[in-house]
Amino acid sequence: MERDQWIDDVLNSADTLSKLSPRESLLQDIRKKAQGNTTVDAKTVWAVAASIILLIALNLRVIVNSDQKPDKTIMPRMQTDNPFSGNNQLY
Amino acid sequence: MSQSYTFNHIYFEYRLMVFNLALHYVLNTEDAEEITQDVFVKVYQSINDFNSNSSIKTWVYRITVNASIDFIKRKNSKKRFFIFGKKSESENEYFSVKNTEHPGVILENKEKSALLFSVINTLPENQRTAFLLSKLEGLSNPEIAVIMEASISAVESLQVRAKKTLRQKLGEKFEEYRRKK
Repeated sequence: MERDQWIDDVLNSADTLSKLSPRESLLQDIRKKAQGNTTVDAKTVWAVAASIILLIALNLRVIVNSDQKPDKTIMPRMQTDNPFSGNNQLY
Repeated sequence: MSQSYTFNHIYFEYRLMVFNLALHYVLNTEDAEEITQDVFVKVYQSINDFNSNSSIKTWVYRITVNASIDFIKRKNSKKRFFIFGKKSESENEYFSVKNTEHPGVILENKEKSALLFSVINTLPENQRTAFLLSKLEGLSNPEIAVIMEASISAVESLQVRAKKTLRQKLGEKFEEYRRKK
């Protein structure tokens, strides 16, 4: 009995909640945010998405082609007339 | 009627409703103001798309419920990312760092209401929404059904389950309360 009464009291404790107000300047903040958030046209979104896909496709094609071709541009070993020793020791 | 005029009208008509419903979900004024801001930005941006066949009140309520739930989810996911933890099944993490004292509670009910909100916050999302809209906002079941986009019988069922869970959990709390006494 005491238990049920206590549970009912707890459940009813929120019945007397007072209504609170948000701060006065909130409307200004909302207007600023709403007008700042300009929506982007769907055509623009699709154009950007298509450009990105095209860019990725071109890059992939270049990578795949460069892997298939043998590397013909092997540079001959450079012969230099370096008078200094190769280990950077000065003595 | 201009968009600006209509928006101002909606804001002054529903700002208390939006702010206080958000407060029931997050229990602190800073977060409730952030949700209120999100709700009215959404209202401002989609006011021209609003279907005049449904009520503005219901529409604003629905946006507020969704914004509040999204806000809590967003806070939880940020927290998880920060601690690199795994995803939890409940939304209780958000409340673990906040207190459960509703800012609108009168002093004599503070302790009991803190207990009530700590238990409400453990309810599943739909049950919590159905309970808050019915018990704290005083809405009828048909109104809640429209807001939640569910059938009236589904709303009734959610409320019954919510009350049952609350009574069960409060029953456990009563044992602790009696031991302390």
